[in-house]
Amino acid sequence: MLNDFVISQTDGRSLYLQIMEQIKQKIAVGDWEQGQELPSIRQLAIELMVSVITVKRAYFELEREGVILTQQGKASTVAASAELGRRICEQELRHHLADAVRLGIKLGLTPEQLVSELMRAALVMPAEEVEIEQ
Amino acid sequence: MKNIAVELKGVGKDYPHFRLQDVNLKLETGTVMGFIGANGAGKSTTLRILMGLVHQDRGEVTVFGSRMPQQQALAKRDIGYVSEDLRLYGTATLGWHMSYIRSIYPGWDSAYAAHLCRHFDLNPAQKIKGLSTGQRVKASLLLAFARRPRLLVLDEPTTGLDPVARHEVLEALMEAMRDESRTILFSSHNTHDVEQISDQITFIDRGRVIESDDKETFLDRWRRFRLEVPPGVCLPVLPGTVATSGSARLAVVTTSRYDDSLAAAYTQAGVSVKSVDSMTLEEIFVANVHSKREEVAA
Amino acid sequence: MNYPMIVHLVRKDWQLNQRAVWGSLVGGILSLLCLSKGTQLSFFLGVTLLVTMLIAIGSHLVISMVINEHKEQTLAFSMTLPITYRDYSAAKIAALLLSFLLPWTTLFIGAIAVIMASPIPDGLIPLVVVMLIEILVNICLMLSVALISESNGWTIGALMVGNVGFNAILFFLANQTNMGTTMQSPVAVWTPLAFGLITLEAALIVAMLSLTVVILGRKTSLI
Repeated sequence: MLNDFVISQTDGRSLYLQIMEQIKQKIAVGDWEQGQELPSIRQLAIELMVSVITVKRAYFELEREGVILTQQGKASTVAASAELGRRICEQELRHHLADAVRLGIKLGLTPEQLVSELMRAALVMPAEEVEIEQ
Repeated sequence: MKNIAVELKGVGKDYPHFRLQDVNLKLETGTVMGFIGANGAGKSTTLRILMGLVHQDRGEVTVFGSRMPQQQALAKRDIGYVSEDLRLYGTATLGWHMSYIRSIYPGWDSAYAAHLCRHFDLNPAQKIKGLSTGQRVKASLLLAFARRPRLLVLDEPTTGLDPVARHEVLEALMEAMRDESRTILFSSHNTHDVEQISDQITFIDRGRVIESDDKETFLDRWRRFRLEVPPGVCLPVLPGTVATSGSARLAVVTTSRYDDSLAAAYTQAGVSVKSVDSMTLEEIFVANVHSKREEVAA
Repeated sequence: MNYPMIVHLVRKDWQLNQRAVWGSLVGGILSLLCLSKGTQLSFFLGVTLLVTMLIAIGSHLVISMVINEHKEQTLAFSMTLPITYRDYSAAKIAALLLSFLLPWTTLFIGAIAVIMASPIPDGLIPLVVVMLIEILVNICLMLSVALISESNGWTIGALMVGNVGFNAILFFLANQTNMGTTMQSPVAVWTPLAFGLITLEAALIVAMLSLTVVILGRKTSLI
């Protein structure tokens, strides 16, 4: 179960962010279900060969975002929320939009020009691709 | 209530060509501390003082409550030390060393030792002088790990190892941490290893500790700003700025005290923020060292 | 003093050096056989071989147990064990003495036995006893110098001083004292000179080793 985490130092993003991202993906895709227990912080740290403090941080941030629940003295669990998958996708969307905005600034686009770029991309994407995602 | 496994207070040592000055270090039980420094910065000297192999000229060293070097015999029961300048007996076999250590320490775990032998691909029947450098390092590590000591002090455990061996060693290090009461202090000038598995990080340069903090805080505090400074606008020097480089119009500012207000401060001053990048531990270390050296020189 | 640990260290040093000790014992016994032949040639050969064997194994042990540990950095390995430097030094002295005394005592008794059993005049015995103990003094000198100086050069220097001293003392005793005459007699003659010398040698050994232990206790850096 834990062998399919891939953490890379050359990824460019912080280790804890990578961990968070991969946990969220597992949940969104259904690998980890609502109410399922997460591995303990220490266990995950050892499996990933990453410091305990990094995994602690990832879990902390995930809890803040409502993705997981932690109770004193017990293992963390995937938050039981029907909207969880959706919420994760929404977060991802906002993340990508922030990236797009940054790129737009680099290119010197105005907000309106950026919006029209987005419209163009949305119209171009074939309907079949969208269906498969759902 | 946090337990302090190791504490160094104001430790100093004078050599003809090198001075270790005012070293302060606190290592909590159950954590991994990475000790980063360039060659000759004082990492090995500090670790030797910690083990009581070298007596400090100034300051106090306490390990598990025992004062070093006076109570070193007691403290060393619980410490496993591995260093490059520590050699095993060339004419004896690895197996002989394993029996030797086993006869001394009650905590020796034979099953774990056998496991490590396979994991590290070592043959107990082989004489030490017949081993390659990497194998010798792994042999020393095996002898330290298999005792399951409360504290592991490792002086550059991965230096000189090929990538596969490096990975094996890091894995064994992390495995040792399964026990929550185990503590590890390791030095390296390979920042990637330290960045990956350390909970705490200490920088040392030219005999002085220049920073000591927990890793995530470190990585959070340091940022690199890429700024565009329009003509006629003065680039403000904000608190925490460590270095400024780049051209007058496209400045690159490194800061050690990042928070969200900095970007706003730049924008208010008329400077546009092109990007804010986090830095790798290597970049942080180099920037830190350069700025501290300039400080001392000034 | 951590006695269990000292035992471990002594046993370890013995295990690593026992082959050399057994080898010297074989060589020593050969020298005794040579001695027992009774001719003047075999006497000189035997004596030379005997003395050489003892000095060889003594200096080998000092260099292997003390100097090499510094050079090959196995001293640091020992110091990571739960011991103090005092334990280490005491163990070294014990290990060396025990390892050296095995061939030394054997050849000491053997030489006296051979002299008594063979045509060689028993008058030689006091001189032989004094000179054999002198070899022990020399080895202790080497050990002390090695432990304190940690230097191969100084240790070899001590070896040379010891060898010159041995020959000078032998010459002096044989030619300038009454030992020169008593050694020809068929009966062992124990003079006050002989007892005095033996006492002096014993005192020297004790003094050197004690001084070494005191000096070593003050060391602040082992690497």
